[in-house]
Amino acid sequence: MHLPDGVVREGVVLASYGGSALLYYLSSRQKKVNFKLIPKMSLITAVLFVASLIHVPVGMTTVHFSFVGLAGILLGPLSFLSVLVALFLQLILFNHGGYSTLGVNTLNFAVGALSGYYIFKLRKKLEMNSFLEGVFAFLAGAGSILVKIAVGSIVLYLSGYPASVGISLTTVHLPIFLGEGVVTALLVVALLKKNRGYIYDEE
Amino acid sequence: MKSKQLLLIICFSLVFSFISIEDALAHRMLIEEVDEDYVVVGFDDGTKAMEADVVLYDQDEEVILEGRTDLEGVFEFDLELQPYKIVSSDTFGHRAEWTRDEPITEDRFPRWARVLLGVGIILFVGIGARFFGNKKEE
Repeated sequence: MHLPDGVVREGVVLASYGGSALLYYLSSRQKKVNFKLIPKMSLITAVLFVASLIHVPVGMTTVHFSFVGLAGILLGPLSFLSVLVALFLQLILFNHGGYSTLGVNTLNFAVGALSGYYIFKLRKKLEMNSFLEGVFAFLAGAGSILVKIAVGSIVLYLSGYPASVGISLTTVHLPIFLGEGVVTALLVVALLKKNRGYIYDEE
Repeated sequence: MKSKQLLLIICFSLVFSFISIEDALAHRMLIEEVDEDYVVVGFDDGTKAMEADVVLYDQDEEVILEGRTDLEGVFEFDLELQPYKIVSSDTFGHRAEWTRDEPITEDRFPRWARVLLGVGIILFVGIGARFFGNKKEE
């Protein structure tokens, strides 16, 4: 969901740029970028960039994948920068979103990504096996979309859309919840078997 | 991460993006066609925007007609209305705008070229950082 120019009220635009800046500050305090991390970040950014371009027609509209939950699991707090770069390239190359709403869209996607990271992190409180790790990855993948939709719905509600926008957005994104949850679970379990270092908090 | 593994993931990402190019169809709302008495609203994946709200404005930004598109994404209006600006939107946060001064133009580059450019830029940065990182370590 890339909100275009003209949809979001000025006050919300300004607040979301502020929110994005704050989120960047908080996430950069947790982990600093260095040369060693950039190749991994660029690969995940490429996935985010392409994934958002694959659409699924649902009812009277189309929805798209984003894999923000996967980005959160693999990059943790660094996923903010990946999301920002992917969204900026989608904006300049495809006109998806808008310059005034880049802050809103970044906040929306980044909060989704970070929620995926924190949901997956909850597994550390339990004794894990492959199956349970897959379940947590599924929850992170699907949950990150739910959070993303929630943030988007709040932004639209504050911009004059009816409160029911949250229900309609959640309904049309149901295939995405399931799709992203399953793909994230399969990928994360495969990566954990191959090398646990691919996962952010296993590095 | 070992170089071989990194190379493998880069190749996988490239193959994935090449496969995805044919499906690289996102959902930006577009006003596809405006004629004297109708407007066609769709998305840039080629699907039509059904039941989308359409508002017609005159040059003074006054609303002259409101309505919704049909199942083909078409909204018809009277010939004499001559709208200056048309705005379409839906309940999911999509929006498109057309004004008489800005004719509808085709994208300059095909979609697949823009996907490749985007993926290329991102991977170039990644490979560059890997190269400089290795040099720095040496």
